[in-house]
Amino acid sequence: MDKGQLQQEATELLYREGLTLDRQQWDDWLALWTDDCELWIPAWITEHEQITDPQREISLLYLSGKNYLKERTDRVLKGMSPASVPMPRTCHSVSNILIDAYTSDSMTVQSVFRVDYYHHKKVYGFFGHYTHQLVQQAGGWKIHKKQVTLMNDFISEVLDVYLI
Amino acid sequence: MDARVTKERVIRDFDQYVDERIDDGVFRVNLDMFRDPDLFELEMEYIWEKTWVFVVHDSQIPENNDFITTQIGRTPVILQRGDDGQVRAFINHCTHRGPRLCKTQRGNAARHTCPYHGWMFDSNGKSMMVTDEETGGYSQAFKSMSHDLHQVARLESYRGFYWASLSDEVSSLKEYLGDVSFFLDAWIDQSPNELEWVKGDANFTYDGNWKMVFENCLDLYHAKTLHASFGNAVMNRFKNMGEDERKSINLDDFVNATAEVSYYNFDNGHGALWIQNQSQQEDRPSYAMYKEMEARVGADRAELMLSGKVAAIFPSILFVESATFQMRMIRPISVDKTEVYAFCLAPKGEPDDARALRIRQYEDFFSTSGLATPDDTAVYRSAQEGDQARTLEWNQGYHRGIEMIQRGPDEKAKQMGFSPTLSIHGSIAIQGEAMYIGPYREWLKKMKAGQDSALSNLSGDVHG
Repeated sequence: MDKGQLQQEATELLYREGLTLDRQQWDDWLALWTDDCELWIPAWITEHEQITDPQREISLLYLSGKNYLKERTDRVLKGMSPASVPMPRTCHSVSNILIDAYTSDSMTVQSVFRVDYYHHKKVYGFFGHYTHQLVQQAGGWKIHKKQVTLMNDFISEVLDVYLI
Repeated sequence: MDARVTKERVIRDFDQYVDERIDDGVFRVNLDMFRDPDLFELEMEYIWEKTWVFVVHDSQIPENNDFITTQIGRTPVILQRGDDGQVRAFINHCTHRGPRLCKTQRGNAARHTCPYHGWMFDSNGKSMMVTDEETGGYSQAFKSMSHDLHQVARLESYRGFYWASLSDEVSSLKEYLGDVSFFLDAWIDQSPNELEWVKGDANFTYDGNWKMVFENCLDLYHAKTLHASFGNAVMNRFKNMGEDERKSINLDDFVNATAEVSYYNFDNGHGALWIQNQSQQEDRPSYAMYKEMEARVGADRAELMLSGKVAAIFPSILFVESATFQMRMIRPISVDKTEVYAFCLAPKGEPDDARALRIRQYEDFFSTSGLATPDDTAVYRSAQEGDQARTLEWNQGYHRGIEMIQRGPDEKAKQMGFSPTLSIHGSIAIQGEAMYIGPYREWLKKMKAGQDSALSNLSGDVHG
């Protein structure tokens, strides 16, 4: 497979991830992930230094296994958590997509993101870099790992999977 | 003392804000406490800038020349370990023209150079250089001034926990903490080598008054309603993923009440609670070191170490152990905006798997990306909005448990040997709220004393 083709497929997956979150199509979003997936937002220690070991240091978010992602979407669906009632309206933008490394059935993809969201009559946003590790599974690409370098880490009340 | 030149003072009758009539079964505070911006400014002046405020734990600035920046009330502050190893607190303000000298949250610097005109200070706060002093045509009066950084009036440590005060007119830190330090010891003594800071910032803001997070940490009443979705998630985790999945606290303790609780007030506005006979103690990270703790400190104190507990040290710092242990440093920004700086402190020498569990429990429950805290911040905001109802003066939220207040220690406190001013003990179903009396008594005392002092300074000026 040539790199241009991979670039196109990675781009489509990243766009689709944002779109399913923005449309609150939770099952479709979950279907993009492998069962043994990991979603990790390392915390910052200083201005330009982040933690490196989620087992020894604090992460902004460290979810290991798709069930932990589903825990988050179920929480939204149940409507029992005031943090997501009403749900903010979100808009994911992903760009600067680069394939870092690839084999026939895996690739590491760098990108930048901005998530604008509207909550309590105000516009908020998160921005930073994504590193996605994608793998081929059952004839399609899935997200095996997503690491988020969140630039604006002084969190206004809530940070959750649908805001990054 | 507020150094501003203004002499305008609106004299307030602070007694109107706190309605404490325990014998009549009434305790409430006026909603202006949460919504009046002028009152907020007075709180900064009469409380935050006149008492001990938590600033740093020893392990956050371990090396010589390490610094951390923070705030006491409205004043920017640097906590720095000097090249002699001693921790000092300075006002983060160049003595020349005022820029902050440390602009990052933490770092290591042997000297600080002001970017504006280049004045330089060493890590002990001493002036090293006034740029081009010789050619500056300075007066003798200027030359006789100290150019050193302004030290914060008081800085004292309780076993590695530093508090600072902008006012010199405070008792010793030990006296200020009083017997609430018994609770601090229960965290510190979990390891013979005490505690260490687990790296990683997970700080947050909310659009509500600072007292909301202070109240919330002593509030068990909200656990089973507001945090129902946390409880559900944890229960489903075991159902869907098996018993070995990430353990956390059992919110059933708040529903099927076999657990008991003691609430305490201490002098100087501190509150505490201690949950007893809690289930699933083995799911707490500290359980890994329980045998060692028990052998070292005895069964009673080891039991306290493992228990759910809270110590709210008025006004600035909350030691909260629900799922696991978190410190929350409160930074009031305005009447309706608060910053919370969160720290994970863990016993040194904790086994790796217990440390990993601690971190997961911490993120799971406490983080602003977790399953509990965002619901707290959402209701603070909502309460802040609701409290704007200007025709209303009072909420009813301070009455649970008021009939159960006893003056002095309960049996548990007597057994452990500490002396609260007020206690409530009973089934966890009390979910008491009346223990906000202590913090609000202190609020009232500080506001009155602050105003009296400001007025006497004012009349001193007039006559003097």
